[in-house]
Amino acid sequence: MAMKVVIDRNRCEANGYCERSAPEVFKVNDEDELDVLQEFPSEELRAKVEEAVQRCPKAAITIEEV
Amino acid sequence: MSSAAERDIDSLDGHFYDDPWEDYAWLRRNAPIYWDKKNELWVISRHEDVSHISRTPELWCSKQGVRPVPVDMSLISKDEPEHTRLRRLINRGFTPRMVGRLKDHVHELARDIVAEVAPRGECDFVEDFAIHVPLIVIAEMMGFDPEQRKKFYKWSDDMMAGDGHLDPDDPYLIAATEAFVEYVTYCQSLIEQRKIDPQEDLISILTGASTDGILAAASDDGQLQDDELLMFLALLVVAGNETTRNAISGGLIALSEFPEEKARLVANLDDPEVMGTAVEEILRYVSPVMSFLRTVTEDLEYQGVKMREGQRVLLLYQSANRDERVFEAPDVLKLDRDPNPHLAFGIGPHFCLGANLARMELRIVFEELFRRLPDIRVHPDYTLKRHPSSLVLSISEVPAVFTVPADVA
Repeated sequence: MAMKVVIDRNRCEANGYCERSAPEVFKVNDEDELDVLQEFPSEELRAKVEEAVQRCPKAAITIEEV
Repeated sequence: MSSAAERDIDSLDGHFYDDPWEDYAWLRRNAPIYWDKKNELWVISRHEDVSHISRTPELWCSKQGVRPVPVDMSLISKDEPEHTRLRRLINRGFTPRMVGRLKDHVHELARDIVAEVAPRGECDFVEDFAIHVPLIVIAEMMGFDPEQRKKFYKWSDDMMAGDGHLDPDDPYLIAATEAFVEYVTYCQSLIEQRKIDPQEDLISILTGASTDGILAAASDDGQLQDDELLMFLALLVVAGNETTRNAISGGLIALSEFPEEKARLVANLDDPEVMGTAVEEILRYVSPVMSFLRTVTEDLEYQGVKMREGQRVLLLYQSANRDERVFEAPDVLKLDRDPNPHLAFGIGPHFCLGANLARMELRIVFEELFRRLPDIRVHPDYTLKRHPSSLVLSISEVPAVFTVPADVA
């Protein structure tokens, strides 16, 4: 089992909360789009990614177990 | 002191929010999902529940209205997919980068407003100060003439004050309707201009969307209320100024209550980290938007409470932001609070579209204010004066005093 980060692009408005929670995984680029730096982050980042899921004001991030 | 079972709370009485803190604490402790008998709705007071309900629009929807009197309020009273369809028309204009481009301009605006009051030594902080920057910025973004901002101020206030009033003879409702008609009349002439000569402003974008059929036009009977374009424009002018204005006014009141915190802020105006957490804490502590409603979409049980389809729930953002389960010493303003997962902008699909703009305005306005008038504070005899509203804080008057800077004394 591994974690896969899925972004609902229709919801994301590049508020950048996820980047503050997990900068290893998320970055809002200069075009105001969200870049996922690691689609399959390692287990030690799980807590940070889960925080990003929870903090995203638009609820645009989900974790899939693959 | 009432017992847990018998406290009567009228959650739609605007005066309830004059001093709701003790009742909020009681609700969170004793009845986090409270049945307001008079208004027949569930009152939600804990952070966890406000957050969960806001993020679960399938079970608690917006399309049946988000205010006590169900009016179509454009974007905020929509569910998916309509909500995102409308929101996407304009959300690119509110991203961190787009908002960042306005910074220098907002610094100039704020300095000008500070310069106007500086020689006086006292002012009404609401009318002389807090209203201006948010009104000018939203007017410019929309494509209005900022010199006319006193008109938008009045229209916006009157439209807001109509919230919650049902009786067609109610003076607040009459004033709100008149304000809406005057505002819409003002917009109509601009809409006609923009159809011929589109600019890079919100009114042009929305006029274009209306022409393209993305926004539904007025119904055949000519009822302006049905016109999505006009409702959208009304929402933007209200949401773009009323909220930030109250965060600024409420912010000065809060900082005057906690002078040591204020002193630390004044000493660190150049420190982005201090300013960043301070703005978040002011937002949490003040919470200028106090409530929105959702409607239950199916019979369900939540936190042991049975809710029926069609029942309404009232989300109390101020209470959520004082929830002791989430915030240590919630009634204390701690400008370095971090993390600060406040819900002042809501959360979920309807998360405030203007959050980045509001944060930027607050930060710059307070920075420029305290740079020039470091000892400004509310008058020592001040007691809170507000218009009765269950929607926004609506602070009406804040006498403030300060030392006149030597170069203008």
